[in-house]
Amino acid sequence: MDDTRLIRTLVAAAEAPVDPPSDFHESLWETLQSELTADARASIGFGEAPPVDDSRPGLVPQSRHPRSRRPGGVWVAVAMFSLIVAVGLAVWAIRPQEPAGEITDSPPSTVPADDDTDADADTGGEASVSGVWSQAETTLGRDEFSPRLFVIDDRVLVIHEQNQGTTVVGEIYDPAVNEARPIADSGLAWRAHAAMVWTGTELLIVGGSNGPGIDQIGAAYDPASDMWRLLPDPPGEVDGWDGSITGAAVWTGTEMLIPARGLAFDPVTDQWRTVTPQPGPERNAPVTAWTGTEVLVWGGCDAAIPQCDDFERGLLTDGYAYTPATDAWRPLAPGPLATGVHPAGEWTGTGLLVFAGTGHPDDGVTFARYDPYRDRWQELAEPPLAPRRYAASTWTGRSFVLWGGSADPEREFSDGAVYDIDSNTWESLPPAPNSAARDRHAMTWVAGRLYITGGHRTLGPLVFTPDGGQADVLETSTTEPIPLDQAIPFRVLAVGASGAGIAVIDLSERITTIYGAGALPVHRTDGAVAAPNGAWITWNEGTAFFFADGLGRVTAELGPDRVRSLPGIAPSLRAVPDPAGDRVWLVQPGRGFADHDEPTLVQLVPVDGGPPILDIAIDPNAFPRAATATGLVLNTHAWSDTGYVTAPGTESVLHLRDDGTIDTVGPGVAIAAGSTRIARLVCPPDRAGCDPFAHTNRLVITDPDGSNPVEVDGPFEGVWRSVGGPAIPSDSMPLQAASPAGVEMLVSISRTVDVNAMPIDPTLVAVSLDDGIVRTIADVGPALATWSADSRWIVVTSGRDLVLIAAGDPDHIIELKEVIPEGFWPLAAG
Amino acid sequence: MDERGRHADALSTDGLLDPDRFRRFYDDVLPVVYGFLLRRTGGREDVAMDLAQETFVAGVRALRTGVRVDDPRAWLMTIARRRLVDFYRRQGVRRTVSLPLDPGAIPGWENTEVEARVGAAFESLPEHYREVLLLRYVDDLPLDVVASLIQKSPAATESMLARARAALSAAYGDGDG
Repeated sequence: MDDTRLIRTLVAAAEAPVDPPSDFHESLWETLQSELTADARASIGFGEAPPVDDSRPGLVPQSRHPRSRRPGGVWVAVAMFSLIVAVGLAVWAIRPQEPAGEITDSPPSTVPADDDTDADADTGGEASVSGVWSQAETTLGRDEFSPRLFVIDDRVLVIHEQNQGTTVVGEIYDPAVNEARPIADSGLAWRAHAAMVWTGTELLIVGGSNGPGIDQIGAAYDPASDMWRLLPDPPGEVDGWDGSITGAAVWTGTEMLIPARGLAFDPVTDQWRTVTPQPGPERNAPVTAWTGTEVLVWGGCDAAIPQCDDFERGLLTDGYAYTPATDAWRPLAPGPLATGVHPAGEWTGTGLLVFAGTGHPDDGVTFARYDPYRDRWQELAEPPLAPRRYAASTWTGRSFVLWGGSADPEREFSDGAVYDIDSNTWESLPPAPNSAARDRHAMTWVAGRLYITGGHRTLGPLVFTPDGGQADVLETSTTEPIPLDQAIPFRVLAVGASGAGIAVIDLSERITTIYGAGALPVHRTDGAVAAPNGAWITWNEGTAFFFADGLGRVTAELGPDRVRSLPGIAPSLRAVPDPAGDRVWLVQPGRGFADHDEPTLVQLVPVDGGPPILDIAIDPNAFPRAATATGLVLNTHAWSDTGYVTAPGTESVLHLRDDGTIDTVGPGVAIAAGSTRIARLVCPPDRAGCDPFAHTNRLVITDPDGSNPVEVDGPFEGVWRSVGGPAIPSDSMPLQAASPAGVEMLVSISRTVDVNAMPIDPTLVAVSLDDGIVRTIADVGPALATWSADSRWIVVTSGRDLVLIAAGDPDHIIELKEVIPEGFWPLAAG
Repeated sequence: MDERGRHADALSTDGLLDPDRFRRFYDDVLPVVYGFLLRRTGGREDVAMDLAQETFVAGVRALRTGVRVDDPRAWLMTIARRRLVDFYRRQGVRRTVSLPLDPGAIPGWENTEVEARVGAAFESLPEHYREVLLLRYVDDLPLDVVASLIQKSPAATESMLARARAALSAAYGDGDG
């Protein structure tokens, strides 16, 4: 047995069912029942905001933002908070002055090899990044200003330090499954501007201000144990601690460094030590970064001035660098940046990228790079965005992302852009819905996605999933020979479960690529098909169709505004590639009701996203109606260079032409079509009134005008068979048909209609469109059928592995190991 | 071969919040989730039950938020694996590196002869090979996550995986004869 089969056996054995204790089985069910029957939580979609709960008790610290968005009922709370802020600021103002630090003007001697950004290269490119916005789960409140984010592996630790004036809370968000779990209660009183760092094993929270006093200065959170531990007091004053330690902090690898206060904390020894504090005025919200040898601090505003950021007073455009090894500060060289309110900055590994703006049209230079090794600034291409302040940034490892912010209290943004350091160009991000606009938010790059949270009173966290530009390349099986004609390349697409992705398998090159985990152009892939030109198309419920080339690069997008006759992108909307060329059928099935049928909407559009070639609505009342199936959501398909659909509520197969004319092929449900023939399922005469979707009826293959029929009676007894289970109830077997490029059609069982039926392992059959001969493909296991471009048979299993069957040799099974992760489903081949 | 859990592959989450339908799904998939967690926690029933409960509760809560997946069983197993990783992390580096496949190891489960032989070959491997094979294949963790858990580079992890697979094959072959 080769190692692949050994691993497979190992995995299968690990997942073999074991009955848990019966009392556990039932007690867990009782728990789940209560969960199932609990009131469903509000589902908040883009463009619709949940009601704001103005009755919530307690202070709302975020109301220090001077906007008047809050209804009048909370002005008392606002006033109370303003008072608290004023007290806190007074405490700050009367704090003892820190000693001035020693300043060195010598930059570090270490200068990497030529790492200059070519700032003279192309500027201001405004190409668009493709991707999809979606909402993320959260267990936290929605209106925290400036929440803190820390990436832990492929998840985000989110901390709300203000939490509407209660206690410091947090959650861990997992973008892979869109799941948020609250972390253990910190027990820390709410605070603002606390110093926080992630050490790699712990989150350290120290200081902050809330006016009355924070009592416990700090704590450390360990995600592995979901436990907090209290941190020792730092040296210095003890009374209340409020405001005594605030501002940015960095993790140097061994210590938490709080530059503004001249403090360093070692979490291993739990020891504090003092260092030379940052010179100059204490800063509110400066850009702070750790380079590996230095702490860089730039911008912000003079914290001694109350609400210096909101009122744009005391904005600073200078900065300092601190070297722990020498305990010395040096000033940064003067730079080109104008003043900025809450500037955004990211360390790239070789330089500090800083965006600084106030939101005014005359902001001047807003984007620049500081090179700490040469102590110099470079002016960079301006972002293709309206002037703004309070924007958030993140570094993806390759790109600088800037998103959101505001221009004035009444104008927040929901757009952003991505800066490529190599080309000195920007690309716009697709705008999120207007309802997602926000400022004073936080953003980070995690698991190939942008995660944005906070700064908004109603809409919760957002996730942006970009396109396939950073596709993961999976391990492929190359240890076993693939005895298939390598001269005939073909590509298989498989679509995963929610958020999983799309697999593209190019057998000719033995390359398997998964577009997923952040590389997909869609956050949630609802389907994918291959287009005849080698491209592929995927779609996402409620968002858009995406056309991509074989490398996963999105070439066109059809959103609700582009799919003209279709009312948005409905869940049942499907794309069907047109074998004639670079066109695709988009079909929105109508619903058949007794009194008010909905039309089926059909568009034939070019894959470049141009105007529709055909754009029609099919009135079901214009065609003969069968007696049954009213109320069903019909399976609607369209194929061929003209197109066939099953009309809603009619159970009639229609033939659509480019000129918009429609003929009736005949009764039944369209199943498949080749270049000249159409296959449909009909009720046999002796089974009048049967459910046409039982698919156990009669298969009729005809020319488009209904002539030259070949009929194959169902339920294909002797062909369908179950494996390892009871007999398949013949009346509940739907077929799944793959769209063939040639003259044959593959059909398979995709599921059971009767959910009470026992599980089955589907068996595949092939049906010739020419002669109706049915052949069985033996022993392929659970699978769905799909086709190669050369009409060879391809079968893709839905399990952990991928199985291919070559044409004309159905017993010849070629296995590709570990190609399709569990959860992927095959859809089509081109 | 036990077929439980398989039909869930073909069900989407549409309508799964219906208690009757979810009960059927639950009855079908719980043994799969529990069996996986039981083996991966070294046969510790209490831990397996805790993690299974966390898994299902998280799944139901996600469904209630409108999450829609085409393969609920695979999705639930993903959640179970996440919970397992959390468990690993809580345990520090002392992860279970055994997979009890020998006869009688798991009450209520009758393994096949092949499974028992593969299990014996697996248990004969050095601990670091067993660990990396379990994390990568049984737990289905991405390579970079495995690398971070065993504190090696992805390239070194990939290399170790190849050696571990070869060692497993050799150990199984030795059993032949």
